[in-house]
Amino acid sequence: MRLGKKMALVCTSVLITVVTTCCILFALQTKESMLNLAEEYAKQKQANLQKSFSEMMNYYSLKNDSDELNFSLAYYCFSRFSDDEAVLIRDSGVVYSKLEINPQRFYVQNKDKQFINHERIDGNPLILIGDQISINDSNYEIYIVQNISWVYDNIRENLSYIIPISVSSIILGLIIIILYIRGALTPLENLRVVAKRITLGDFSERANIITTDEIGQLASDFNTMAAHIEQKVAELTDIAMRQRLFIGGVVHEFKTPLATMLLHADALENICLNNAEREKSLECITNQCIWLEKLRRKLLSLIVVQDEIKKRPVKIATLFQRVSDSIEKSLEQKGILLKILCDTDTVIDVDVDLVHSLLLNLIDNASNVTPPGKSIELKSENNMIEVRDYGCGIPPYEIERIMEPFYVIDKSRSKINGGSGIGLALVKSIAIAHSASIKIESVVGEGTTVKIDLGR
Amino acid sequence: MAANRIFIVEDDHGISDTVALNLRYVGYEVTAFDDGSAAAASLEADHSYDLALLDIMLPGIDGFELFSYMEKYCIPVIYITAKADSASEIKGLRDGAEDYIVKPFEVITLLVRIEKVLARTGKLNRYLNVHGITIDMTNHIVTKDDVLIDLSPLEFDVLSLLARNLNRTVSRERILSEVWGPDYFGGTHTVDVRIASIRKKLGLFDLIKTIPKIGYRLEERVK
Repeated sequence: MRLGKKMALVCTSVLITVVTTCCILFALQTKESMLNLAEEYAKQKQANLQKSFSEMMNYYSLKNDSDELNFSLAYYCFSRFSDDEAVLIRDSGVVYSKLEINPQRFYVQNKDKQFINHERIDGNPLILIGDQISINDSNYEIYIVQNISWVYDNIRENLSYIIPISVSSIILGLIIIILYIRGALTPLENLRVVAKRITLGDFSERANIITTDEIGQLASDFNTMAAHIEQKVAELTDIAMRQRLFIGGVVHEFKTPLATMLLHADALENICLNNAEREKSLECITNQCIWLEKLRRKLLSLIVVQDEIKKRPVKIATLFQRVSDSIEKSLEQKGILLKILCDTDTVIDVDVDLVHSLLLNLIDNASNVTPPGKSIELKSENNMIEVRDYGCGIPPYEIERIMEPFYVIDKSRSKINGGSGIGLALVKSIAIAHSASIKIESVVGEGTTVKIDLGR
Repeated sequence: MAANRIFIVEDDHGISDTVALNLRYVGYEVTAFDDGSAAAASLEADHSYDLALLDIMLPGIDGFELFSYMEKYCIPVIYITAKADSASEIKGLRDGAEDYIVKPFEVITLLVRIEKVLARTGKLNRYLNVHGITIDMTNHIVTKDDVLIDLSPLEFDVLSLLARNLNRTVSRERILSEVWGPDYFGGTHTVDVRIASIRKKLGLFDLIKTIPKIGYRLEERVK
């Protein structure tokens, strides 16, 4: 069952119960107070009647009057004050009664006390009040018998307008409840529709709910969640796209060396080459294999960087010495000098192997553009490491793109130097893994400076 | 009769050198460039090429731009590129290139495609000259030192196949499928018989070499 229906049902039953209970309580209360009123009135009437009758009897009667005389006197005195509701009984004989029923049935069992009795005779509710007095050795009982059907008539009349009022107030209450519940649940329904659209892939969808209650809060939380999801999906799509481009790049990079090797292998197999040509072909295949192996190693390190890094503190001087040891020879062959400038004591917290590889890549790149006789500078200042060359420089519009995998500025020239286009992408990955920033400053014709800021 | 001239523009020396080597051995005359602009400039002076093999990604002028120069001098073009996407292939072929080969490729497919393009554009040499033997491809006539040699049609086809793949090993299977057709279900012995008869009729005992377990090769030293 829907939440709205449930709430309406519960509210309705509570409302009906409350209103009905109120009506019943009101009717009972009214009846009680009216009966009390009637009783009070009858009591008063009986007391007055009894008082007047006894005074008059005492005044007129004599001790030795005959029984008949006394009877007549009692009748006379009583009729002076009585009305249709009064009854007088003397020594078990009815003296005066205008009732249609025999008043003797009201005879009191306990003759000592005044009594009040409610009876129902022939469908009429009656109130019966009686008392007794003794005058000149005769025992008189004086009753007031009052019809109190007006009390019930009154209650019935009251109910006749209370019931319509209650029913209409219940109906009004129901309408208000239903309208309110519907108003409260509509935003939830909207939210559901939006959630469904988001499920179907429209991540830009947002709930438009302006209430400040719990549903409004839910909607705003929902919107925040949707925004996060949208952002994450965009990020993942972006990553997937970049990975596809990357894999496309890898595949592309493998094509040319493979094509070259295939051609040479075919020539070796099918053509009667002379010795020099045969040697050249073999050398070419070897070189392509070496190049592929280099590419494979760089790709592997690019993947490894993306896993986990193991930082430990190391002196910059030690790190620089290690870098210098590994690259000195190849730089010497090119006639390039590596100048190292650093404080001896500065300690940095990095993955030594990765930063080593980062610096090697930067110096290798620098050495490809540095003419023989010039130098490359490797400097450190606090947490900033700098590699500077005095080569050809990079045009400003290229700086943005050189960090992309497989991007090489001068393709044919790069190949001669053995550049794969992976080096700077690797540098960038290592820097990102260390939360370090890279800045490339370059002036065409003057040289390039790459600054790695390790932060902290 | 001059050999077919082929113009290559390819920035990867590993590839252009071997392609040139292969083509020269088979009997084509090859001119290679590694730069689009230089290639375009050279056409001013000499544009009597029968076919151009163009890479697409080139320094200077790229392959698609170079195409317009080729069009100007009526040189048919085959693209040889690492760009495997169909958009580039469609663009290349729509513009009017004769063929589009994606790297890596096999030399034999390249040779066959070159041959087909030359035949289609009517630039294929009608005459093949090897060791003083002239093969007239259109009239199916073979002469040695101006003397007409009588060859059966099968012998002529085998000889011309070997001559078209000068200096290259041609497998018995390939000879069977190209001369006898793919539906022939005999042993390769029949090839050996034809080769023996060609050797005898033309006196090419040393020059048609038997390559053990593979096939035959018609050899001629490259100048």
